[in-house]
Amino acid sequence: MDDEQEIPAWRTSPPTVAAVLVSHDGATWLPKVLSSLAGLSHAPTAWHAVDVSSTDGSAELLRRSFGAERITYAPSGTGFGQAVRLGLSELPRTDWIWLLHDDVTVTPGTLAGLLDEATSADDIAIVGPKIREWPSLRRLLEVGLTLSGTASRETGLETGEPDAGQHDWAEDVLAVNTAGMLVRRDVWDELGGLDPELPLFADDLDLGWRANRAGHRVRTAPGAIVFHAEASRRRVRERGAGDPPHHERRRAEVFTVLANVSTRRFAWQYVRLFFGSLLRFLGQLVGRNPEGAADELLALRAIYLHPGRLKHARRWRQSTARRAHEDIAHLFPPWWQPYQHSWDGLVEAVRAAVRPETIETIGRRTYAADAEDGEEPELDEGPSIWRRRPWLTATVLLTIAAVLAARPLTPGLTGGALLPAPSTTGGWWDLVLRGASDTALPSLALAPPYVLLLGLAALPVWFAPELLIWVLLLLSPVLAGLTAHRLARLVSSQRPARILFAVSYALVVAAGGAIDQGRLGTVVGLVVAPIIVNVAVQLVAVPHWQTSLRLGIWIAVGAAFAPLVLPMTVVALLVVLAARRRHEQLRELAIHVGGALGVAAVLLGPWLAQRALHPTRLWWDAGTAVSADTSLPSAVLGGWAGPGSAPGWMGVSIVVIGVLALLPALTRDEVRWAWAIGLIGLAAAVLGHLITYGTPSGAQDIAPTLALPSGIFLGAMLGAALLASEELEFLPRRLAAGVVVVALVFPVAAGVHWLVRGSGDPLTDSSAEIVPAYLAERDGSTLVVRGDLDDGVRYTLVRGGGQELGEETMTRSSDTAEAVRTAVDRLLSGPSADDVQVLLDAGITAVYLPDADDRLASRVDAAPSMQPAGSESPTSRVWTIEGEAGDPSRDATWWRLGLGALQVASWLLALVLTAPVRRRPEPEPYDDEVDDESEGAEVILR
Amino acid sequence: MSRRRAVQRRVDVEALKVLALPLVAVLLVVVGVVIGPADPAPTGPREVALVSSVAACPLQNGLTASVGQPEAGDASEVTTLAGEESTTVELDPSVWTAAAGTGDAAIVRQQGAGGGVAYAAGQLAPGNGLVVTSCPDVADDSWYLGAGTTERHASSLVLTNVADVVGSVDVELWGPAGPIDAVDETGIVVEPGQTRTIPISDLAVGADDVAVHVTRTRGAVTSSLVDTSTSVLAGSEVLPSSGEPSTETVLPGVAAAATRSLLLANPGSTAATVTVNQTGADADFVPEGLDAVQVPAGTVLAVPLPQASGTDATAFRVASDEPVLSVVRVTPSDRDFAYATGAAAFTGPVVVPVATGLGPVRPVLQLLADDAEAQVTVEAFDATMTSVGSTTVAVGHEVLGAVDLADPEAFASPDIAYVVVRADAPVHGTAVYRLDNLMALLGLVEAPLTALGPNVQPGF
Repeated sequence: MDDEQEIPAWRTSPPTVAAVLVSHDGATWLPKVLSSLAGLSHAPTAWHAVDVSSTDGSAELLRRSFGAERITYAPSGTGFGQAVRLGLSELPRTDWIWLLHDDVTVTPGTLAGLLDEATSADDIAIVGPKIREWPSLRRLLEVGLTLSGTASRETGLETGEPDAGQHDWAEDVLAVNTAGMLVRRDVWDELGGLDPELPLFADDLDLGWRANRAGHRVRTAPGAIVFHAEASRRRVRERGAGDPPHHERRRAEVFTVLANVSTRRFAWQYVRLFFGSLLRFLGQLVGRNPEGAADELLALRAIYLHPGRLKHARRWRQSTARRAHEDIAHLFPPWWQPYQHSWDGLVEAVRAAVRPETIETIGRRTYAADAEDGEEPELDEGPSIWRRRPWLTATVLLTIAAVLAARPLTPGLTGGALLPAPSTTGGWWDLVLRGASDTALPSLALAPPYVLLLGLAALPVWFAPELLIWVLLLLSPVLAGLTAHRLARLVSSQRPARILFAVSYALVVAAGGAIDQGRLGTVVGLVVAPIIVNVAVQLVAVPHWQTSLRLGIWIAVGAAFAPLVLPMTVVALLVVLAARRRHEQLRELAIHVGGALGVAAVLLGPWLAQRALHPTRLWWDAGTAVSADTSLPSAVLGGWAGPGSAPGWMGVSIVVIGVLALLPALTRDEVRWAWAIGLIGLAAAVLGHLITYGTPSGAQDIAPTLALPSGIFLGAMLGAALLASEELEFLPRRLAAGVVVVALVFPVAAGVHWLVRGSGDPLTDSSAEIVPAYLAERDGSTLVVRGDLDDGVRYTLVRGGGQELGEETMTRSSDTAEAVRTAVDRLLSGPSADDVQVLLDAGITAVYLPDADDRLASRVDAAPSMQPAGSESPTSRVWTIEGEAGDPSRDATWWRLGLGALQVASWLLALVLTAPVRRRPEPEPYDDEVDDESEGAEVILR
Repeated sequence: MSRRRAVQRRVDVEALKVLALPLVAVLLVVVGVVIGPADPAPTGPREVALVSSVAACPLQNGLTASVGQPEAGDASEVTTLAGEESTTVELDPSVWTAAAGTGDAAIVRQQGAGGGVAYAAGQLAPGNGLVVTSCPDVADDSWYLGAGTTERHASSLVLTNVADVVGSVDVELWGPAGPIDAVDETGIVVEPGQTRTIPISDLAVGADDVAVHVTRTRGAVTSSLVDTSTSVLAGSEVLPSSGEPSTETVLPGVAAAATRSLLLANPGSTAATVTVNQTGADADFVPEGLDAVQVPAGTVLAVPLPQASGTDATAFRVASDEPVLSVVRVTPSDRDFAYATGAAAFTGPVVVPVATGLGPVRPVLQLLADDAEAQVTVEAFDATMTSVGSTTVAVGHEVLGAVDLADPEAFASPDIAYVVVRADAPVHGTAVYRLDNLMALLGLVEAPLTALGPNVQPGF
């Protein structure tokens, strides 16, 4: 009795169902599709197939199964809706229509499950099955559909969400997929079927939306299951003439929203989707998906250039609408859902970027996903994480060490050569686009290109750009280790040697003292150097324009932070060309090398010319020009000088193993290339030792730091050892052990030194006031004078709280700057009213001597109009200048804005062009995991 | 044999392949070490050219200011302060202007690369002695020796604020009995653009031959000490600053006079032993009794010169084991006195005023070479800054040299306004002015062309 009650009423008097299968080049899937249809426990009343100009044998498969009389051949370009209409025209009128795709397999109970739900209420007009992914068969694809305000198709499911019955209850939805859709014939006729404007995509969403507006219900039927290959959506179907263009999907979704949205919201959505699409275009570019970006634009054009179609579509929908939009509002996703997806995408992109090297493992990473029988395989514990993922472990340890070494410092770094970051990333963009308009002595100087790069990189941390500086500086050993390891993977197969090389190189960066000295440019240069070598090696191996472009970009990135990278790279590339002068690909390689250097020159822009005119300034890295305390032998032998550097003897072991690396004859040729790079670094260090440089603002006799070239030299020695490590296994065990011990001296000693000392002085995270707070709040700028009569003084002009990172190169020699310099000269010797007036005219309203020399203070005190003011310490003196100060602020000029925008565009264009773009997948044989016992067998559906 | 040689050659080539690159590296480092780093730029103090000068003349309603520059300047003005009134007059910067201002004081501002100078001259009541003094500019410290705080020998400190913000000074005093605990000697305020005269007797009374130290604590304040005597030996003088206490002082301006006495002040906390070497017309010697003069700590000592010192023009070199101040009070008659103070060595240019408003008074220059013999050129100019004659004399280290600007052979022009003195080696000098039996002594100081300043560079 109970059993009888559970049997749905329709089974006693089954409604008639007409099934229409639409096929287009679906031969890949059709055998299984047809096979599954043959196994239905409750079959449709009538069948009909429509083949849309297939060229892969699909029509023949259909003919064999359905018989020639139940096939309609449609011309190419026929949309899905139109194909269904053709099919229906050949079928008798039935109660229901069942729509089928050529890439959808069904279970025996699919149609019965649909009818169970469809007949449960009179107002149900459309029913859709639960759709799982084919071929995995376990992942859920859809249980009903809806459309977000940003015109994104929403399923409400997590990506790859497995079906564990969590959605097994029927519910009202906005729409269901046409794959397996059961639709009442009278409603179909009432609504006019699928919209011909939507030939392939979003037609299901549109039909469901219209059905709901017409007062019908659209239901899911979880009891009915189909498996969908989504051949068109995934673009795995062989494309043919007449197929919709790639941007059709986006066009269809936007069109559906605009065609169905309420009149009240239409204007808002019209504008929103326009600008939203532009944003998505940019997002696709940043996401290295230029084809997707192009689709966005093309879809936009297809809709907004044809308002007539939209108008017609809206009018057509009005004719069937009987329910208010508010009544179906609950069928749409919450407003924030698209943004949630964007966030998820970003997280996934970051994960992909930092994903460690995959190595041979026992396959733990994917066993859960790949197990298809639902049973977790029994795995033994296997080797330790260190053995399975040694580089990942080393990276984690390096990161922990870097964080420990940075223990005294929190974001907000300053000190040494490092100026504080602006309060928001906008400060850097302001420099790029408007220049130093609000600095003490504004000039027309262009922002250095590294400011643009910082501005781009700090976009995600707009309100805390100091986080980026913290990461770049204090985690630079980790970053250097990553780039070095990437290079090592290219040139060596010795995994332990690769890791030792990468860790040692990371510690070269840490031991050089550049971090503690706040030399951001130096550390970024050292981080980028292995990448440049990496890309250059790839270019030499396989010359290609995209590799050339990538090399140019990385040279520009390195040179933007550490200009010395450019000449060193040029020399290295010339050496390569000279060495390959008899090679058949010399001409091609030379062109690509020239192209790379040209790209670098374009990206660096006019700033490069400024540096080139004063070659010694190539040693001026990003940050303030602070003299380095260096001595040549110790610098190049690893005996770094200056705050934060490790003891000199540590690096000697690197040079020793570099020399030892020349001994094995088999690897000597490769090792000599490493030595060539090392000698270029060494030569740059020697040259840097001999010179001093000055800045455009007039500072002179600044001794350059040798940390970058000597780091290159030592890195090259490590590289030589890495290349020679191939021969280590052929050495006697004791000798090999000795070499390994020598190689371990540096990383162990430098690592201990790094951890014990930590990062610090002169780098600090305290918000050191450059001028007393009350001066920072005054209008006008403050003349800050440091030094004494005997040893000379240096002065800076501070506006507000002081200069920020990037502004150090913006102060340039100008008439005003020169006049100020002369006035300061006299102010500290024999001041006069005229000198004070010069200061006032330059907007200087205060003079501050943080550590006042009494003799100098006395002279300033004797100057006219100098009003003594309170200072924060007994050793400091402050004067405010009585009088009306000039306002030297300079408005941004149109050409600066133009140049800045051009430079930004150049970088973006180069990045987009060089990025390993996502290509639309080429059609390929489907990796079918379904049991294919029946493949090839003929299925009769009559 | 040939096979062994071939093997040997192969080994050599291999060794070269191994060693070549390290050798290049060593060579690079050696080159770097041998050439060495670039020489660091000098960071020490340097002379900075001045383009303007400010001086304050203590006119005291009796003196007149003379203003000029060794070469034509760009601008010049005199602001006369009389009570609370001030009057500014622009002057022709290409003309030597005598009697440029009268009143309580005059602030002289000049612009130009030549180094402006200003002098005050005249007969100053109540002593009615002859005064020719340079107008001081702003100095951190000023030292004076010979001030009096008695009724008949009274001195006044004239403080002038040449800037537009408030200035202040502190004062210290020493007398024959030791340091004087003065009243209200610190934080003496001078309002902007005003002059303030403070009788030394307001700070301390009853002492003669007082040493005064004025320290500028704030603002741009100049100081002068006006000294007058109405006793039996009358006269008046504006005391020039004696320079800082030193262990070596040269007093080139000990003019010929019947009465001369040496004043020594030891502001330190340790007794000083002073030796005085006298340079005469023929040779130098240590007068009897002046070979080891004991000056107790914190005291002022007046030492009458012995007869052996004579009465002729001479110069003194005062050496001490502790820094002391030293001046010689020269009394040519009972109507006037003057002070020969220490004068720093110079090579020039030194501007010596001739047209001071005193009438046809031409000084005699007493010169003494600092170390070795020097050739000193004295060139005369008229008021339009046109050269009207010059002479060159050799000045020795041990023999006092003299140039009489009234010498008709060298200086025949009647229109001499000033002379410019230059030397090829450092010399000390004093100009001796005589009018009847009145006398004024003017220590020769280089025109302010440059000032010592730090090496200044933009920070970055």
